[in-house]
Amino acid sequence: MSSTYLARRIFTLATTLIVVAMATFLAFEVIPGDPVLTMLGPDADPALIAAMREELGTELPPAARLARWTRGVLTGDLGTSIRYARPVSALILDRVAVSLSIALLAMGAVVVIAVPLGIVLAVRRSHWSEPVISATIQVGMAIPSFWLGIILISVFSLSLGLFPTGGYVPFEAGIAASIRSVTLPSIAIAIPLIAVVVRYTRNSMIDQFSHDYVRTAFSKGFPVRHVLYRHVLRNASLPVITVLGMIFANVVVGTIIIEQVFALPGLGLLLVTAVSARDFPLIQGLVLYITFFVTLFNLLVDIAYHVVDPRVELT
Amino acid sequence: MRRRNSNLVIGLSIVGLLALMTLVSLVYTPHDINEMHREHRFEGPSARFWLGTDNFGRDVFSRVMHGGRTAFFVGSTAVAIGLVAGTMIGGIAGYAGSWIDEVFMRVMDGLLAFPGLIMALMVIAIAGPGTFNTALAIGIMSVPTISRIARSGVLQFKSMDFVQAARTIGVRPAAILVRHILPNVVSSLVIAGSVAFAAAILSEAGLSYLGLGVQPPTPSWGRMLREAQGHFLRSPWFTLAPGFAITLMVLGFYMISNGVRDALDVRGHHL
Amino acid sequence: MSGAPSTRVSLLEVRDLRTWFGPEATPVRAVDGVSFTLERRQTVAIVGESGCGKSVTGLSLMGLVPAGGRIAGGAVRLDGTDLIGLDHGEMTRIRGRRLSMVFQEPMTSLNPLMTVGEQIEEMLRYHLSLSRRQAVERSVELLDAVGFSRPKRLLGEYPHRLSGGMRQRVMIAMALSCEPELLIADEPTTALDVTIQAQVLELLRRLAAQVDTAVLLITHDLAVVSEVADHVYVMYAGLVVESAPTRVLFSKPLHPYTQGLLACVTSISESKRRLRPIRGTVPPPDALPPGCRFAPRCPHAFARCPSAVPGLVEVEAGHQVRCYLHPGGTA
Repeated sequence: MSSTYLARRIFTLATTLIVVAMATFLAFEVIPGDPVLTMLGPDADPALIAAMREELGTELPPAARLARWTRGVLTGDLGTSIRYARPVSALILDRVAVSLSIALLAMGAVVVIAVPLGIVLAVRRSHWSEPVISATIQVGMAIPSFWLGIILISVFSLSLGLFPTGGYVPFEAGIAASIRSVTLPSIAIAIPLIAVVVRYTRNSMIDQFSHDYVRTAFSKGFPVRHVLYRHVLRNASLPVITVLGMIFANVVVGTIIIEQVFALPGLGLLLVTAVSARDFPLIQGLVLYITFFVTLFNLLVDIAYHVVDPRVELT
Repeated sequence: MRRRNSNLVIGLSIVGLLALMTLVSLVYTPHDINEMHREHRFEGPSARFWLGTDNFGRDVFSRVMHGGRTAFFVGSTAVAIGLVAGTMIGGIAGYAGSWIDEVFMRVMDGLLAFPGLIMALMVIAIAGPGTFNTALAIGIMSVPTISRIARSGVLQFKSMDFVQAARTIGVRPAAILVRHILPNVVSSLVIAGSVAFAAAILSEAGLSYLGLGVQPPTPSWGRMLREAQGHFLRSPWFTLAPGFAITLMVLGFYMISNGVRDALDVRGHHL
Repeated sequence: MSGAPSTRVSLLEVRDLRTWFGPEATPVRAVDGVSFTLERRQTVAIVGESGCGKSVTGLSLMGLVPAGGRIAGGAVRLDGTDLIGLDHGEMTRIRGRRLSMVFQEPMTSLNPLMTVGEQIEEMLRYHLSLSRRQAVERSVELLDAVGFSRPKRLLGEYPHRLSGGMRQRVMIAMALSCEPELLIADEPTTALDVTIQAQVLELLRRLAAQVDTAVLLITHDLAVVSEVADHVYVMYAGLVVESAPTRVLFSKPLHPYTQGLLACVTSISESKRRLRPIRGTVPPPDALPPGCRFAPRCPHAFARCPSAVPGLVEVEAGHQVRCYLHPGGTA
């Protein structure tokens, strides 16, 4: 991989993050009326209002506020939550493990299940199975993950007692119990995305079969297995890598909602609470933090793509 | 070679049926949606309550019918916002070119970095929950994709225009626009629009489930799921019905978008 | 394979090969009863316009009939063994090792995500069980043989960095790496720059001769054929219409189609004024005319032509033609 490519990608990442930071800042600049009164209500204690004004810097001119916000972001200081009266970054740090373990488990499930399944469904193709597969995939994509979550929790936790009905067990309290506490939510998020990735993997494989280099590989006298795994798979993986990058945003969104279903104290639940409470500093901080993760993941995906495909350099 | 486009046919049928159900709900529902039949709580399907009753003894079927209004309203408003804002931004960027294009598209890239629901939550935090704000939030989510399509259409037109002008064969640019570029752009927009519609339904359901979308007493499928949570074992229909409704509607729009894509593919082979 | 030359068996004997596409009831006959023979170390050409079935013939020999097609009949005997009767695993052991192929499209025939080295080495390691080091050494030799000045550096290159001619030379190195008995070259130079076509063809022939590989050259270009082939089969609409030693074919073409093809070649070299392409195009295999398939385009067609497909008759030793103008031959 060329270093110029990497530099260019990091530059794009930086500009994207700047746009994101500006957008989160501006979004809360356009709030009609007095944000402090909006947050605290008109009957709040005047001393509290004054303290809040000081804290948020609402009396400062916009440019100064932007400077303050930017400085804070760069130094990792995302301000103080109004509802919790604690630094936003501390609140995030407390809860990030929950969301991260759900997201990673879901992502892992998608990769481990969907990619092989897509390959198998591409290799074993038959006339009659085509509409069945296509229908199953489309239905799978359409199912809302939180609905799945509600059903899963009812069947596997309430009825069968196989999993806890909610709540998070931290890693330190035992790895198995910790994983068990996030298994159902991860499955609920993963299922619709498995449908998406199966479809991409399968289509990508089928598309590759018709390429000339596959015929060449067969002409070289390799068995199907070799042609499939040494030649086709590498080429077919490119669109799959791209879609895995796109999926990550869906996993994050899925996490936000599913935490509510399973009462898991992660970033999603925090964000929902913050939005309900109109805790603007907390919302700003969370949005920036989550978006940063998504952008960073996309950068990693881009780099992975670049490692697999030597041609990217030229385009 | 003639091939039945089953995706398009099934997708349109599903959406058509749901639309019909919603239209009927404007004049008739089997029961009043807010009427509580206290002695009939958590009932299964019966001749009287087709899809059973909820935790207050309200008729689930009537509420699902009525929930279609919310879904169609939020979906179409969101897509309309996305289409209008997206084509305007994409059109201006593509037409103006140079640094304006660069800035617009960078901003769109930045917006694309926001996971859709996060953006929606921000809008709701600022503007407050409610049906229209939900639609607005979701509409903004589809702007980046749609502006890209519009921009590429304009760029195509510009380059065509240029070529044609140079050759001066007397074909009017407007004719090229109508005959060659618009059909491509329109079909891309139909695909993007149906996908955006499906995403809007899912997002609305998600937001309403979180309690941040459509507010009571307006019935919405996501909201119904929020209320149904915890009652699945006692009364599965209460949970299943709104979930099926969401899935069907989303499926219908996915199938329409895939059907349009299939149709374009077929045409591509013939050209 | 060892000791084979002591017998009289030809290296390749194709008898009445039929490769059909589409539904069983109304098949599209892309190759409709083709027969030819190839001896060891010989170069034989199959010539015809695009769409005449020559590429499908080549792929049928390799057992690589495109999707939707099937071998409906006939025999392909390599050194006496009928390849058509072989199962998948047995055919896999023959491909690449005893029978290999160079394709028309150098830009797409190599795997874009594997280095040149990987693509040659995997063949050597798989078929000849060479160690990694041995495979690298042999690959360098092969790339050197196909004329690369810095073969070692080339091993690490990806195909997209190479020109069409370079890629085709890599393909040739790969196809000859296991010293197969027969190399099928399907339009190996058609996609290349005119200036290097002759060079690549010459390379192909020289290297094949070095490792005692026979070559079946499939081409639409008679000019190419005259330089390299020992014997020529002219194909039209799924059938062989004329077969003769190269020199005989060029000096005494009997079939009007062959004459037409030759007229194209010679007129280009002599003067533009006499450019005489054959009118019309090859009929698609799902819409064949009755009788002689060339009749609708033939300047000499007469009443008998549309009646039935004429037989392939031997007019003199080694020279066969399928045309009512030459009904008796020596018989």
